Amino acid sequence: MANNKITFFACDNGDASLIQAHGQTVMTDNNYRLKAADENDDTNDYAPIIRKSCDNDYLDVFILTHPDEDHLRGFSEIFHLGKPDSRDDDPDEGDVKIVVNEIWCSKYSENPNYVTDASKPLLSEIKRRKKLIGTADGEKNGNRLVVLTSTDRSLNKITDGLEWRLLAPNDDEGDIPKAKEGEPKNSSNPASLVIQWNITVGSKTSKILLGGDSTVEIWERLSEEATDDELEWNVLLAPHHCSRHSLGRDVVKDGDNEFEWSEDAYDSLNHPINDKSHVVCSSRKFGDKTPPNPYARSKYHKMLAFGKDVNATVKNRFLCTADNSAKKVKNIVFKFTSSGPTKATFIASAGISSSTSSQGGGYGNNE
Amino acid sequence: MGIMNEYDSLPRNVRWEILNISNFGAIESQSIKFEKNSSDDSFIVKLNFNTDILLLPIDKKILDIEPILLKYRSIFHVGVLAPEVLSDRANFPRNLQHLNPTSADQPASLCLVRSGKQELYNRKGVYGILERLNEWLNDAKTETLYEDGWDPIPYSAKNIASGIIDSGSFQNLAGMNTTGGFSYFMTDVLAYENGSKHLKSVSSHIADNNLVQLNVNTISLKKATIHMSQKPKKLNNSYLSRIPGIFCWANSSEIQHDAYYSSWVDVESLKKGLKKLGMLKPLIRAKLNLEEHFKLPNQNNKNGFDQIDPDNKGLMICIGLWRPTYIDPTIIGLSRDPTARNLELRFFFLERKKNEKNPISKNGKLSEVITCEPPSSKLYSEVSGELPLPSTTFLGAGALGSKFINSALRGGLSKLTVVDEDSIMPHNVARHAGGLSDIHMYKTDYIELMAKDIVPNVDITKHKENILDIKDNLASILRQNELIIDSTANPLVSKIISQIDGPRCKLFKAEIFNKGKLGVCFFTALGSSYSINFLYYQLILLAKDKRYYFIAEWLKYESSKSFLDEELLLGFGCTSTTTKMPDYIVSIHANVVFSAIKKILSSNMKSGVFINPINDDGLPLAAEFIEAPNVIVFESNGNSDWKVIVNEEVLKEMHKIKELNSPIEAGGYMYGTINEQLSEIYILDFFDYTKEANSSMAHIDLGRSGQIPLEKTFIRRTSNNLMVVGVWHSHPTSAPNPSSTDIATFNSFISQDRKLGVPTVMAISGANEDKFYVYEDLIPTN
Repeated sequence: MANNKITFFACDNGDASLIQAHGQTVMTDNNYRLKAADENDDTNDYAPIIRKSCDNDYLDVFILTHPDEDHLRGFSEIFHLGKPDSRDDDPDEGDVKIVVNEIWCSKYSENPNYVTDASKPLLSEIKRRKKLIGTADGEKNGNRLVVLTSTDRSLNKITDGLEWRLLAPNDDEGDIPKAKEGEPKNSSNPASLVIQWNITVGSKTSKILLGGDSTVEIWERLSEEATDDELEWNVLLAPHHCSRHSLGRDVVKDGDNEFEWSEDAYDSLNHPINDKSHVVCSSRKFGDKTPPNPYARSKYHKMLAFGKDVNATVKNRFLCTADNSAKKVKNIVFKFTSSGPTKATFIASAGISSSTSSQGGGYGNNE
Repeated sequence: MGIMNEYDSLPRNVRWEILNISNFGAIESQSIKFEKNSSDDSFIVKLNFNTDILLLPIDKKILDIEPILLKYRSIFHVGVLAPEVLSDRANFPRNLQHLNPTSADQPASLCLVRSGKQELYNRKGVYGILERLNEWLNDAKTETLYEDGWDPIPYSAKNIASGIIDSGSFQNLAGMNTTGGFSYFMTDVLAYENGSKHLKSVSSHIADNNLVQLNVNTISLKKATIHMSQKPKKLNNSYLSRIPGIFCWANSSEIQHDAYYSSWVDVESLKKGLKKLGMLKPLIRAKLNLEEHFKLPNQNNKNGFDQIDPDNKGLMICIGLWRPTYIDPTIIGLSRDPTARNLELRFFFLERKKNEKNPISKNGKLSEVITCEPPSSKLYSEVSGELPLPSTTFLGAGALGSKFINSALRGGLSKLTVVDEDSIMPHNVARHAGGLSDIHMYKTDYIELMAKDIVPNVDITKHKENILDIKDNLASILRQNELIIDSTANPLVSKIISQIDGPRCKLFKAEIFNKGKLGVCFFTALGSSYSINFLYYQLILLAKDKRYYFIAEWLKYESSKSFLDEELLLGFGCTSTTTKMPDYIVSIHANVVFSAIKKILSSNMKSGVFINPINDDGLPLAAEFIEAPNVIVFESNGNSDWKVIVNEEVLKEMHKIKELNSPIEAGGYMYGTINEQLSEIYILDFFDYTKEANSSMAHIDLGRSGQIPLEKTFIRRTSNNLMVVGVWHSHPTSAPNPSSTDIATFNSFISQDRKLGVPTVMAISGANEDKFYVYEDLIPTN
């Protein structure tokens, strides 16, 4: 039975994904909306899945790609803030908050230019952990902070079979200057952590590429610097909720505003391993508002076609969390098996389903 | 058979079931159809099941949409009995693992769980079945059905016998001879009379000289022949006889994925299957050799096999096929050798009809043998799911001791020593594991019988002497094992053990106090600074804390007259000093303390006390581990053999008071106890008398002890079990050497203490160090 998987939680225009592999739990970003916990609301409540996945209410790693609201919203609704010992293991009301053993973030998230109401809880937690770096307490579960900067894009290991490669940001990209007063705020998107995950089961390695809201400049650089092996994927999370700004940029030509697609950025992202690879778009439904951008989607369709024509089968491998057709399955799950990755059609619910004959049971004499 | 379209007219149980099925995420609800099979009354639900999408191209055996049938015994059984799960695809692959035995013309039957499908249905309903189906289909699709080990093929023959067989040794033999081969073994057959039925239990031995490998060991063949020539033995309600067995295994290069065993339902299909595998000829050759060597019956030989076993004539066959991976590691009793464990075994019992000479003839009756591992400490440990106790010496085999031994043996203990001089008396039966037939038997003999009845090959050593009589040998006896469990309730035993130095063998002492209301287990190690005696007083010290009111109650009870009145005195000369207590109370403490012992052994706890208080109704209050405090040991500089063992917290408190009052001298009384036999003085608590004293920078005059309110409470709650063992005062600015005033004062104490037979203890905290003085003789004043 495959216990190794990645779940992309349906969370509107935001990111939240959970890798469970070889006994480790790694969450990347979080966009948990408060109304999710309202049972009368249709908003996807994925918190029970995270709780069920975390042994003894501890998450091994939380990765904040960048400190935008749609990547950290509702963190404190699910996760514990403050000293790990101060967590109430048995609250009289509500669920136990999960202690995050280790937080990974970029240089920019460690020292952001702006703090909003939504980002304050997690950024304060990062600040608390930063102070502990170099102390014995800072080595303990629930206190650890790792600030990442890409240098050689080498493969690192969390445990056997669960490896990761940091592609971005490099030192410059992680350093975003504060805008001068009166000027619009500088986006933190270029400082997004871009990580290629290598999950090996048996002899088969599945590759997942997660890139937050990384911008076209990042992918253009990677096109120059990174090897095919470093960029390839079985599953790609379309950067910036399938925004076209990961694949191109606004330019002014002859006095007109135009959008220019970047061939380099396309080449960089165009690394599906085979014609079974998938792209996940974590966003609202395609419509008037962007992202998600339908033209960017066409670009991903082209990648998925793997040099052939874009047909319905190819398009079916572009999955948007907002219009997942499988009934009752709001989240998108890929399993990692010794025969390679698979896209799950069904995942057992966090609780036990009702049934006609469910009557409980216990240890009996029918051994 | 027709489609039933009238959903609303279905009984509620069926509607509910179908609703649950249609709500299942992987099922296309529009694909669901239901039918009643008029031929056998069964009720069938048809559905299409979506399976996972593969992202790597492999030759998939499972479709993206699999047609499935859920077959219920009848419409009334829907929601009650788990359905059979069948494929609705004629070309469903039949060479997958985890298929139930069915003929080729029947739908493939998916084996979702090795056992307990009904339990799954009871607990989670059809959702649980569909959840397992989802896993099954996706594992089959990704070819990972046996990723967690090979699940044995389900039994399929019409006739089943049960057997106690050490399958692991069969696997090990094949593992050492991977080119394939055959060997012989013998089987004890027990035939029971039960009305018209014969139930057979088979136990096989394939070890040591019972194992016969042809052309290897002819001596063993002779030995085997001796066994074979024995006539069936009449037992109480059965006959015991011995029949030969042939173990035939394949070459390990021939890995089999197919079920095979599932179609071997009679002699004919067995032979057909073996032929296909190329194993029939070796089996027949082995049988011919067997007939020659064992002189199996032929027309001219009346002393052959027919004569030996007229009712149970037959032959055992064991077939071993190599699988692509090891047999599911959760199955107990199999080889631990990773290669040998890949061999899947199947045992068959072949019976001949009267006058039929060939047990492998088509007229023979074939029974598949469901194998169980022989009873052993290893089996019990695996069933218990935890490590057994290491080799253990049990001091005392009374009510408490016998219960510990019982639990330990059933948990896999394989080596033990028992020391007890007593015999079982009639009144012991009220609480001891022994019964009426054991009366007057030495308790050690009883334990040996009990142990061998549980673990046949248990390694047991007995000592029927009084522990006090063998105290000179006790050290060597205790060093035989890794653990000591003392349940003698004899403080002298603790004292003797405390005098034995390492190796640091772990030591537990279990006792029940206060008419059964307080179970206690002290834990330490031989040669540790924490003697059982020290821990006992540490337990008493807990009484000062109101939370441990039950300890104060116990001490109060023991200091009262009623304690002596309630002693159980039976007959003349009986020296039982245990109090009135029912068996179940002893069992409660035995079980809880045994759990504590297991927990302590698996943890890093150094020494301490485990307490299990229960209320008047025998219900648990709150069991607790209390670790021993850190202690500082002050040893003599050579003038005496006394050791002063001080609770570190007490010393810290003294230092605090010294600093607080400096440069004025501070002082107070130290409480604890004195162990004359071990020459140990325990300082466990302390009361500050500085405020009550007349003190200066060079002098302190303490008043009488027992005057401070807190101290009075302490004395009351500990029922005078802890006494003043000495006085302490500070020399905050000088060395901790006694002044002439100190000497004069203590000489007066020494005179009094000598009359009581106890030493006088004086402690002085100097500016930079502490010194403890133990006086038995007057100190010269000049």
